[in-house]
Amino acid sequence: MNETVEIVEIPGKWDISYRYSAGLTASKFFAELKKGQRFLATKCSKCGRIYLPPRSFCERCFIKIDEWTPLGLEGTVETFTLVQDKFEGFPDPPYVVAYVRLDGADTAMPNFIEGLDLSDPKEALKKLKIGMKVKAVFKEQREGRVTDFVFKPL
Amino acid sequence: MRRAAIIGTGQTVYKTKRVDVNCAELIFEAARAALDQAGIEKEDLDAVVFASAPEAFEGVHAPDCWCADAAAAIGKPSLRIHTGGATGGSGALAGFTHVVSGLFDVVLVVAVQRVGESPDAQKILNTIWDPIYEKDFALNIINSCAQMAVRYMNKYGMTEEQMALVSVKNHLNAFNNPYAHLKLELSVEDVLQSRVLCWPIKLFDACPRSDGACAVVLAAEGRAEKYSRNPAWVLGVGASTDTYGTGDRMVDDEFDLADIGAFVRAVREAYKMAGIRNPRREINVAEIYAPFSNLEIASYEGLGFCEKGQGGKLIEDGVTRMDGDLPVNPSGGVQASNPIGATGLVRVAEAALQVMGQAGDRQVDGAKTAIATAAGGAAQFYTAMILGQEKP
Amino acid sequence: MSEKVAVVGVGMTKLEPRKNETLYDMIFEAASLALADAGMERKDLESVVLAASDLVDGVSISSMVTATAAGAYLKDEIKVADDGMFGLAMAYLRIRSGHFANSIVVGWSKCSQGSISKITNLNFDPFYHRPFALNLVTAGALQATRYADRYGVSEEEAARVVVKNRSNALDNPYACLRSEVAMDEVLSSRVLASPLKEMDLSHFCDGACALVLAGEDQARSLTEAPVWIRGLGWSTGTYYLGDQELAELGSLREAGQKAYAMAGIKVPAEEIDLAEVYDLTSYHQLMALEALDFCPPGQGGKFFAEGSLPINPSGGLISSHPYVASGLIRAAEGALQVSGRAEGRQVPQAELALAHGVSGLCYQKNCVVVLGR
Repeated sequence: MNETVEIVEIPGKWDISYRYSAGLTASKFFAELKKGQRFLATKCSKCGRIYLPPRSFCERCFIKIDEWTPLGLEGTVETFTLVQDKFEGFPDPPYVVAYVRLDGADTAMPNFIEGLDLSDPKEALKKLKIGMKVKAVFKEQREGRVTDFVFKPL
Repeated sequence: MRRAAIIGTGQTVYKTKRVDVNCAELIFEAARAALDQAGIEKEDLDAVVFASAPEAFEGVHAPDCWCADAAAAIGKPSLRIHTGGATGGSGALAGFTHVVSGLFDVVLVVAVQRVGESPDAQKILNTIWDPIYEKDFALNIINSCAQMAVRYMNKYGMTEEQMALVSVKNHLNAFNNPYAHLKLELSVEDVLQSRVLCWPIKLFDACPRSDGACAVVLAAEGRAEKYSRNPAWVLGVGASTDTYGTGDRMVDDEFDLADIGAFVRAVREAYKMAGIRNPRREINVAEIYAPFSNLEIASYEGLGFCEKGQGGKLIEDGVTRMDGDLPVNPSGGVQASNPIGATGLVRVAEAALQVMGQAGDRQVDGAKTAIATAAGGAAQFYTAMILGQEKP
Repeated sequence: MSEKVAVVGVGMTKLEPRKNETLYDMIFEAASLALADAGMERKDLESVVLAASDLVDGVSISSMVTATAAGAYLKDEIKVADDGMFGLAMAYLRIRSGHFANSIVVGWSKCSQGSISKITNLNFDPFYHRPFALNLVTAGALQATRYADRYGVSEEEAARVVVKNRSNALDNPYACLRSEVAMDEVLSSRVLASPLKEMDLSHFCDGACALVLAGEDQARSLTEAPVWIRGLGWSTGTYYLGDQELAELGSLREAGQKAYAMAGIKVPAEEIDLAEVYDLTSYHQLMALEALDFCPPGQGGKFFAEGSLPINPSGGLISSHPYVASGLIRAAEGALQVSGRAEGRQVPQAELALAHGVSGLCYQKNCVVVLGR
């Protein structure tokens, strides 16, 4: 009984593939990103709230929404972070993740902000501000996904 | 003790994959329908219980958080229940507890599963097994239940034909259910000839994979009567958890693997609370969670509808058919539709519809008292809920 | 009304990487300790509530393999897939319903076995959020940026939280990190995602915690000093980070208000003797103090520096964060304090304690409990 037992650690990995159904609402939004390089938001007919990214129902009135409204490309940074560490499964740093509220929308949406000099994080953080204006810039190659555009400072 | 009743239910049409909606939108459909049937708005809700089973199906961690808006949970107390296949049943029980605690008067229970989001359902189910002792043995739910079937056959002489009768009944019942997934007119021969998955379970003995959501509104006495002329009163509830290891259930004084001991305990709790002594007479309709034919047969005995080992005879005698004495699964049951985490709540919703007289073409005449059961894990978690027309 | 349900037993494993054990070994330890502490045996249990996450456990329907380790064999058991504090809420409701005289609630996580970064990235939907390097830390960083900007919160104010919490942990034999850190150490630690530095973050580890709750009659027969649940409240916020004011922890404010109302508390800063709040990061601890109405919005740093209220005497999440168990551990710590059993970290004359748990990212769901003698 004096022998030491070697502790076993069994490796495991989940390898599960998915085909996520985005639904009609998101699908329409994505189609317009790809073809029209344009943002379509949904608007609640009862309370007037404008959702971007679009939702098919209003969470406050709890009714279906079927009204669409196009918005422009400019917006305001509501919050951001300059990522300086390598997280498992994420890109190599540095990069900026932010929430941007397009003019006219009641909600903000996430994306990367590009076009900034991030070589000196401290300097970069002086330029990044909540309230700064940015513009959506569409990529040349688009897939009809939320990654078809990025934000760049105005 | 405070009483509670179901005042409204909502379901989505069950299909392999609902490509027209994302998970939140699927939930919204069921939640909205339940609120509409109950005649209330989300402002009338005091709390929300969200029920969903392994999120490996949705492919999103904590789907209750993502879909909080669809579940009408924003600004309300909410929590998520997850007990594998029994999830929907446990969710209903948790909703009942919320109301009976005295803290909440009107509670919404929503349950969902996006089974169609991944083509790798078996891979997902394989992630259930303990990596230390069992994962290497290609175990899945089907072969676990097949082992139970073999044990039961050995003990009581159940035949494959008897199993087939269950499948024929349920797939036919599904034609009366506008929400059902698999509506099939099968003969016993069709079932016997279908592809063997894990003997003795064949393709038509097994349940489908279905995307779906279900929602139920519970209200306290005093409020329930204001909202509904014929609410479905909760007469009794029960739950029990068995040991994990299938191998640990081979030796037991009262039950062994074949007799589903924990299921019997859960049902007994519910009967005791409801004051039911002769279930065969006092229960008018049953919606039971049986993803495979053999489990429905074993459940008949667990429910006290017949003696041990006599389940096969009960189906042969036609007692549990729509035109029988005690219809079981007029909705088509789990063999017609299986949106896993929601399935247990669907049983509750269907039982409620029966008691409320709103089951349409699948209505069992004179259904006054109904029982709904749910099962989860590899036959490990069980819940039971008894509903009735008369306030207890 | 406030003496209906009490905590009658507490059990916790040491919070540290526990590579020599399985999940169920760890759970069994916590559950056994809690039962022993309550002077009960498993046969006396009427209900079992579990709190865990499949993805963190690395097993789907993880309660299959763990339920019986928590005492659930042939018991009426239910699993809450939320932070352990929500499990406490469920157990509380079960006892209040009158159907159960007691319940154990057990929560656990083994963070050492998986990647919290990857797992919490999966909290985000694949349609609108997942591609944007969002996880527990980066999403927390977005929130901290907003808070710091809105109220002019300095990195020093945040660092002070780290220094104090880490110092508190020295007196907590269960804590994972038990060494002091100096201000300049915190300030010069590596920035992971602005403004969060490595040392601003909670410290993921392994651990399990169990509490035994009992209704009034049984509580009084089991112990002369039951710890009453005087107030309890929980609430849900929106999932969409872009739909809310991230600097205000709205659903925490709602949860706190409910708990205070039940407990009859009007001025928390005066009436509460200690608070075990959920400090996901140093900034979040300050935000939590404001949302819990200990001080006005934006004044968290100032309030904390004054030191008038003992906060996280256990060392908090910054010292030990076994993910799903963390909220329940806050309650366990609160119970130990109120019953005078917190040993080296005891707050003198602690009569009323607040404990706080969180589910979801960016404090979307919050549960608050007020415990008292």
